[in-house]
Amino acid sequence: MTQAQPGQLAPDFTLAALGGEAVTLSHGRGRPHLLVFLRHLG
Amino acid sequence: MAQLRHFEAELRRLDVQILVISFGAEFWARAWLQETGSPFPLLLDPERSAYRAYGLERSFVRVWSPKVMWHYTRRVLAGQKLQSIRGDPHQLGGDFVVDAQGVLRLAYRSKDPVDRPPVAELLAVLSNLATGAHR
Repeated sequence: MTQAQPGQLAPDFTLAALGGEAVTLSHGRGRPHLLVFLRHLG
Repeated sequence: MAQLRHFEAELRRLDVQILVISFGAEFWARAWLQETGSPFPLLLDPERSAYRAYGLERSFVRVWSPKVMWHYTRRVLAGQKLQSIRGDPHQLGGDFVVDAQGVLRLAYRSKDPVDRPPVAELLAVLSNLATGAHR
């Protein structure tokens, strides 16, 4: 699989927020985002 | 996460939206949120579709490497309590900066469980975005 690299469009996603609505990354255009992917929750 | 919280005011000043993503079960996600008190939205990705899209790997070898074992040994020797593993211990994480136009500006894929980008590096990239220095 080709990994997304800086300078490329960030892969879009829609995920459910805990206790809230679904969040779509591209709907947040206009603000910078920091995406923190956790490993296990321990 | 604790480090990010330390810089919460700075991140807010830079108008950065932080999204924390977990593949963990909702039950453990709630427990994690309660324990950490994280103020940032926590998104659930049980299918790991976003993990795959961002090229985040599973690795047995890198998770159980001598470097990682030594890291945890030192923490135990220092009297720290280690939390139990909740979920797949072999899934690696990562940190990504996306600019206001949706373009990836920083991609940091953890090489092992204790490898995270320095918060200073993340802040530098985000500050540059705020000032337009990347253009």
